[in-house]
Amino acid sequence: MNPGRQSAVATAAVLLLVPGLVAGPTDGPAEEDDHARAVLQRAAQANAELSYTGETLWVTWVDGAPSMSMFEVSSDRGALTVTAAERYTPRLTDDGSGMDDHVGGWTLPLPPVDPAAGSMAGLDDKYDVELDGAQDLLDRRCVRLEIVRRADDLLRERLWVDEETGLLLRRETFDVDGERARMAVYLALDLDPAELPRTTDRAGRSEERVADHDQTSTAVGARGIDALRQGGWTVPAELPGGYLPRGSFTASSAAGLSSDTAALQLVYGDGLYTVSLFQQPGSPDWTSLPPGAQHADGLDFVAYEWPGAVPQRLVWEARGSTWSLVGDAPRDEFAVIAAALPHHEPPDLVHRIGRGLRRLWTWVSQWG
Amino acid sequence: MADGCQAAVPAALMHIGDSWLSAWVDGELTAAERHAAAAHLDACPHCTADLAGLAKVRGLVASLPVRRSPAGLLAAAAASARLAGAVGPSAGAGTVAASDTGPLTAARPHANRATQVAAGVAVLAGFLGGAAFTLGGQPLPQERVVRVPMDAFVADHLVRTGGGPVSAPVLVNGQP
Repeated sequence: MNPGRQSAVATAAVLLLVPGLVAGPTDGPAEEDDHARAVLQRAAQANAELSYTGETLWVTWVDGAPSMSMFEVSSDRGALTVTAAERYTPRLTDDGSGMDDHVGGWTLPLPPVDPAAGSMAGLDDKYDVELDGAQDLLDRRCVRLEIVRRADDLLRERLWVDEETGLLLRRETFDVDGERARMAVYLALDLDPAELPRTTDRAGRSEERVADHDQTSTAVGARGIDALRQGGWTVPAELPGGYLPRGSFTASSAAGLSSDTAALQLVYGDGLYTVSLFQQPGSPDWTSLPPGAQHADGLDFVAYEWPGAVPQRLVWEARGSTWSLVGDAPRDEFAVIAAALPHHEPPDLVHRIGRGLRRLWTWVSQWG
Repeated sequence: MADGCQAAVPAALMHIGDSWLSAWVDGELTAAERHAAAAHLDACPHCTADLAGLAKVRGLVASLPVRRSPAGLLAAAAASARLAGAVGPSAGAGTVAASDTGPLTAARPHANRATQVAAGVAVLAGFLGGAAFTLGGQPLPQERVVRVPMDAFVADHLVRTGGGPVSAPVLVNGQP
């Protein structure tokens, strides 16, 4: 073999054995995943870093019927204020001649959230975050992301993230059937407001509070959790669907709960959604539920929900306690979580008759 | 009395017949018949003894306790008599009370009362059990009932979680 040919063979062998030398720096699947993850992480932090005002549209679908709400929003590095809300449900008037609107509004200032609360831990265990191209919204270039549940390849979220600021401009959530369950989008946005409405200061204090939230709730540590379990409280180590513990707290005094009817708040998250589980000893006073509560379908036990509400909420009774579930998880995951928790079982025959005899006795003894 | 003893009987020559003696015991002789029979009894120790024995038998029968006949006895007897060609049932009044209000079995008043009491207890127990089962489906009034401050729970959730790692453009407490 001549020297030239030997050199060519050697070069080819090296190139074959070391493919990295041939394939220069390109955006393979791994790199795209990292980029998508980085965009998502940035979107999770943007609210705490920016000050802006805007107008948003919320749409929720219940049994295929949309319900729309519009809000004016003011955010001061995480201190969020919602003002001048208009809420309406599109439907025909009784005579079918036009659209009937229900207008209402409220001011709901919220104190700034704990920056560490938005943990994305566990998201990679359950979801795949994928780039889905780019699109312009409000004349701003946005990266479009899709969050897919890995177990069944179910599309859960589609996000539009502003490339420049990282702000989430549009978000769509999909149900288990692949249909849109809710959507939130900015209709107008001012990222350089001349003046922010001073309804709240940086600490979130406001004189115009409608929902006065008194931050007197306390965190419950690991030892407290052990004591609660020994005392008969149910403290799940995790919830189905990959929801891991994020914290435990006693409910705030603003809840109007006395010391002997305190509630325990357990927070869980899967990296994308979070849910809070509230437990109260005692049977629920169903008349105390806010308006809009409806019997929840699809569950094997009696529970009440507020269809279309954000965040979702569910309440039921089990084992002498009242259980409330609040969160932004889609409805199907909500139902799976609730079904895995204790729920009401009809008392056995002996217990039921005994309770009925005690009730009869209380009636008779009142006449004696 | 339509038999041979209706005519006056010479007390020295004939005894009083059984029919006369029975009528005397049952108080069914006329005044004249009774006078004639008495004249004979004064002179006839045989008839006097028969009269005493008959009166004793009558007294023994009258001392027996009144018993209710099994239901259907008279009907069965009448049917049997009709089958035999005999004339309908006798009155049999005075010592046996006839009844035809039940099966042809021996009457047990004590057993009937016990059954009625047991049946009453069973009905009462069933009523109480049904009422208790119905009323036992709900918590007792003294069992703890708590208010559900759902709006405060939502605020607690939002504060503690920010609504999720990737917040929606706005977190609202909205409902349709």
